Amino acid sequence: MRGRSAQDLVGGLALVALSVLAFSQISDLDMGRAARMGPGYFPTLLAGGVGLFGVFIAGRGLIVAGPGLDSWGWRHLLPVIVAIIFFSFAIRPLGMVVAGTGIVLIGSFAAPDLRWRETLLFGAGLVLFTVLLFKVALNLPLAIWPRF
Amino acid sequence: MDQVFSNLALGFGAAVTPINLGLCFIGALVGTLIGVLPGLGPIATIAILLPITFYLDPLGALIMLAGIYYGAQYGGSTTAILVNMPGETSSVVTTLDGHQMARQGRAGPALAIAALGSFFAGSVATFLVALFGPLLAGIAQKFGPAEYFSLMLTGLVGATVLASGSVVKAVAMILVGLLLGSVGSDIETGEPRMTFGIPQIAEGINFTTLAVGLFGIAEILRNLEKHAEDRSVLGGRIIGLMPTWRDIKQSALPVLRGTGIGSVLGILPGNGAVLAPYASYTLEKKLSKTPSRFGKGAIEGVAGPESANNAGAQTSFIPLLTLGIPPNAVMAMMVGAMTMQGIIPGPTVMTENPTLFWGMIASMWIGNAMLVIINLPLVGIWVRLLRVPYRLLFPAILLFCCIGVYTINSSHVDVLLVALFGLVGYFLLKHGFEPAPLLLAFVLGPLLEENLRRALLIARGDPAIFITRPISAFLLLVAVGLLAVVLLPSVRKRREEVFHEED
Amino acid sequence: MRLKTFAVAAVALVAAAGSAFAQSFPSRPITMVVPFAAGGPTDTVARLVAQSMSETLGQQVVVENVGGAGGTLGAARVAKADADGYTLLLHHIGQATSATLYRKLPYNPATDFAGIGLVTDVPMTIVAKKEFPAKDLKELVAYVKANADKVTLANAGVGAASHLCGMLFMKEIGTQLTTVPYKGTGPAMNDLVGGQVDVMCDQTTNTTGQIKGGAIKAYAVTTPTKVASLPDLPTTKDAGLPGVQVAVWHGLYAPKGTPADVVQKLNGALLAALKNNTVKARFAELGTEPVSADRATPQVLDAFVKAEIERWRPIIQDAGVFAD
Repeated sequence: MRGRSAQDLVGGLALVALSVLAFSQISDLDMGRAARMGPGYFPTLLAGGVGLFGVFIAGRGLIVAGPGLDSWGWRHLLPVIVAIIFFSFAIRPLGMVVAGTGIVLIGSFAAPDLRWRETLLFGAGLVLFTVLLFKVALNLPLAIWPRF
Repeated sequence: MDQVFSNLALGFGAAVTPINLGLCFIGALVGTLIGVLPGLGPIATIAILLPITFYLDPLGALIMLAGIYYGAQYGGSTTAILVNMPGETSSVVTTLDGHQMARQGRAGPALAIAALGSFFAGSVATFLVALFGPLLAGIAQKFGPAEYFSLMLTGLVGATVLASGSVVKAVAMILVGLLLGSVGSDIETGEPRMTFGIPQIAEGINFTTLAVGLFGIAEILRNLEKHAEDRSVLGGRIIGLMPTWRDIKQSALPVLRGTGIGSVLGILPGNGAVLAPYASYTLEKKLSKTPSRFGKGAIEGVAGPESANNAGAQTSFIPLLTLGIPPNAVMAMMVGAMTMQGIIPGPTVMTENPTLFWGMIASMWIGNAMLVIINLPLVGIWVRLLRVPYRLLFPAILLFCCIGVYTINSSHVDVLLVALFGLVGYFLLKHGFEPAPLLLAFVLGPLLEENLRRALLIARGDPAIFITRPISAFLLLVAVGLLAVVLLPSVRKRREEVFHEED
Repeated sequence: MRLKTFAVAAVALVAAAGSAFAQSFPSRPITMVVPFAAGGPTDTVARLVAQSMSETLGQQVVVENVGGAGGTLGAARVAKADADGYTLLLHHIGQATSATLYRKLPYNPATDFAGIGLVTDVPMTIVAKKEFPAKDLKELVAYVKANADKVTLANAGVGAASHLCGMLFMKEIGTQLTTVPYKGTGPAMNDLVGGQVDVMCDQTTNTTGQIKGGAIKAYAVTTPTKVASLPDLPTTKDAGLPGVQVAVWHGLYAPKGTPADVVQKLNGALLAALKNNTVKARFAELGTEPVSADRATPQVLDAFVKAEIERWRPIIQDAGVFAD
């Protein structure tokens, strides 16, 4: 019984945090009884379970040896996440061309072996393809250009 | 028996015209092509393609829809295998070993065995539908809330088998999945639960949103990271396009068993088919002499669940056609399409409109056949897609995912949630948690809670209902048995580990 | 496109001809928002109407499904859209009941829309499992009252038509039953057919097939007149429960402030759709029919929404249910 696992410790603590977050949302719901469950019964049970497992896994991480923490690849993570967030806010007001170009360009920053010229050409083709497919061929209610 | 053949003859007679075959082919082709885009699962694909069937006559429209339906489903499996992105619940299981095969350069055999297994399962299930449809539907009606609760509980216990790592962590993931599944308005009072006041999730979190984020985006992040060190993660090595003789021998029995499991579960009107691929995977892993291969690219882990999935998809037409009850979201969409064509599914379709009924059943088989015809040649193209440099492939996947998720409800919040669940998925990867049990629990959770509460409402709060009803009691026994099977090896392993440490 | 509209509008201003805008309307595709997922009954109604309106207007009327929060998300989007007639809403009775069910609605269903016209009334039917002992509606009411602690009443979730009708039914017979909620009509109907629950009140769209197939028993239809597809079924009025009057009505709306001549033009296209034979035939198969021309008008719809809001408010409040 020696060594510890930072991976399990942090993982377990995250479950505890999730459980706390859930409890903060369901505390005002009616529990009811087992025989006549209210809206809060099932979630309370689950949030409690998640918390218990979190404590167990974190505790185990303190005692039992296991893998340590893996470093996070922020260099890849950030562009991908930012690209999706950009798309979500751009698609309705700015249309497919802007949102599509944006997600491809921003996302491409995550590529370790980026070649800009290639990406620009490919991105342009891709956006054209999506416009032709979704708008022209399938007639989906998506805007192509920004609305003013 | 004669009756069955004359019925089938009637159906095939109506369905097999050059025009109808052409419609089915186009449907299956377009369904595959759209469904294969990451982020566009069968539900989105069918919704997008629905309008093109409006202008056809009812049978033509239904046949084309059948093509679209199977195409979209198979397209979803293709994405699961190639880029680890399940388009719907059933292909979550396919990602486990299918994508591992792709990583080992064996995407071709995985895709081919999925198509062939599905075709076999589809053919058998179509025949079952024709033979026993009405009879089976009657039996399935014996399933009430108590039985469904017990069935879902059994499925949940089985979910732990999906994990190849720690059982404790798998159970924790199941609980998290159940918790996420209970987000949204309460079924009885309508009160919002854990929605943080966001109206877009007032009806719960979308499956596609969760799956795309947890699997797809997390996978992209993981690939990019590995890619930085080793550039040959996906592209490059391709070992064979078609399954070897050994692959086929390994897959034969799993396909047969998967067909059986899928056919039985698909008949249940309460979305029993959702369990079919999981049940098949669990069974194959337990029966295998080398369970350690599962999760690392075992072809049985693709062949069995894919067959089970397709058999279930087929037999889930039984409750739809004979009872008029759509068991899941995809089927509900099919009902919408049928109503649009003036056919209201229900017990009367079969007697009032036999040509249409049997034509539809015939079209299921034709749809499956088209799928094989279209997809076996396409396997080569799909596999070659993996040769596109990852620096170009992943922005394309990102774009299609976002458009796909956005089109479901035209909701930008759903796209934002993809980013959030992508982060969560990445966190899970980094901390040794597996997302598959979470996703299954997410799907089963609401069914579990609803049926539990309904059963208790109907029984006036008496929990004895779960053991006094024979089918429910039997299922609970199965759950207990399964629990023992799951827990015993891990307990034994733990003890062995302890011994090793003491050595 | 935009530029063209602008140019046409500018010319119109110069010519000081107020109807010029309407003459050029529509110059681009129109979006018809359905606040529910594709494939549902409301979506079906919308797509049938949209298809016919496209032909009349000479521009595509594209159906956009904006599901979520009981239809209020889609309605909110239309309420906030430009009032130019290019964004429409097709919504059902939920447009009126949401005013009470949702306490934090970001729009006012009574005042934020310009009605174009009623589209259809889908009647509802009071049905029970096929083993249910009562022979007619009177017996049903008597049995239910005598066995209030045993009888279960199914519905398809808070705010669903079956939920509304169920509340009204219990109010009229003055008896509370155990309500068993489902997510959607499919599973509710499944358990009714399977005999797991006893009674339900649901749209003809969902019940007609089952009634005709003998899978469930039907007692009455909840509209003033009988339904053509179920000629043997009496109305609630004739069968002794006149207070239970519900129809799942559907209306077509534009945002408030849409120019009157544009509304008029859209109304014309709607009327044409309601006379269209394909639309009529498909509606009939759904167990409904287009509303009469005198009810498919902006004035009737605007007044009707307000009346329905007031009618359902006390019923929903008495039952103490909220969706947010």
